[in-house]
Amino acid sequence: MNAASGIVEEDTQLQLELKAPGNATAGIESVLGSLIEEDGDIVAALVASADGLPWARVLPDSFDARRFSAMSGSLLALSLAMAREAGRGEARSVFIATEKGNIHVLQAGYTLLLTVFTRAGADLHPAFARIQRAATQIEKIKSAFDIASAPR
Amino acid sequence: MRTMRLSPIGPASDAVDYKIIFTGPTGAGKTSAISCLSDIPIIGTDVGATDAVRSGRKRTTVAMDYGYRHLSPGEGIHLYGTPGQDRFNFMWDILCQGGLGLILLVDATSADPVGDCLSCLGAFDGFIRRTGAVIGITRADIAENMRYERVQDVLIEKGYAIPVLEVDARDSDDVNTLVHSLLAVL
Repeated sequence: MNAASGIVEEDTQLQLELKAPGNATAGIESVLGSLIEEDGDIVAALVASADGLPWARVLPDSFDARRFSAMSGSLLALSLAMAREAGRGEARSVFIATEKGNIHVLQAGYTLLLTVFTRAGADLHPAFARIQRAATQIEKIKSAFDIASAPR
Repeated sequence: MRTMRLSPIGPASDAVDYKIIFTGPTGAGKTSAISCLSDIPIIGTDVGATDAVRSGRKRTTVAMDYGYRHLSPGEGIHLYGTPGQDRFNFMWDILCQGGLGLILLVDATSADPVGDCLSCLGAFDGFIRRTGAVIGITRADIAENMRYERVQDVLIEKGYAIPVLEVDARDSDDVNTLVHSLLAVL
């Protein structure tokens, strides 16, 4: 938890993940870009690892990718724990309705999660469909990258 | 000892429950400690660690651990464990709300256990000053040149009057001792 083993190393991790050319990040950021471009109700999106590290993002400068990634990981993990506790199987997503819009956190495969911010009054039906499609695309990109980079 | 009544379960409940928070860096033994003390299967939020190479751990807690220890009829302790990494610090304040005190676990085999202690105490300073804390040094038996007295000396230098014990986080007697030490300093 000290500076030596905490934030500084997480910075390095973030840089490594975001900078590595040819990895899944570029493809995933392209998916996020298209998602925002296609749906005017979606204002920001990020992809994080299940353990809360930033992977890719299309966020306004005011959004802290590290913090939202960690919060997304915590939220989804808590929802998984609650669903299991209630005997409801695996949780797939968390939806937060706020005064100024909505926040949707959902799984994008086993190891990644997608967080999307929508405007207040957004038409959620088409937005949900696009968000779900983006999550599936992200999962495929990550899987393809994992297969391509697996030791032979 | 201060008593604290948390939200009762139902309007007619007269249960007295306490809440204790376990914290410390990743791998210090928080989940193990809560597991061995809890009377119920713990509710965990561990996921695959993508930084496993660095931390040496395959899974990590990302929101909290939760367990419960019955003390007597109508009385018990809620046991909450925090995530260890700094990026989850937003959970620390949430989990500390209504807490009776803090148990800080530090791995004696880490690169800088004393620094870990001071860093955590700094992060929870406000909560500790309002409540109380004890420190459990784990894996002290396999750490070279690491004794709890060293931590205690540094804490005294820094103005902290906090008990420090060597514990095995997997041993319920050891963890019980930590809890009782905490209750004694409140």
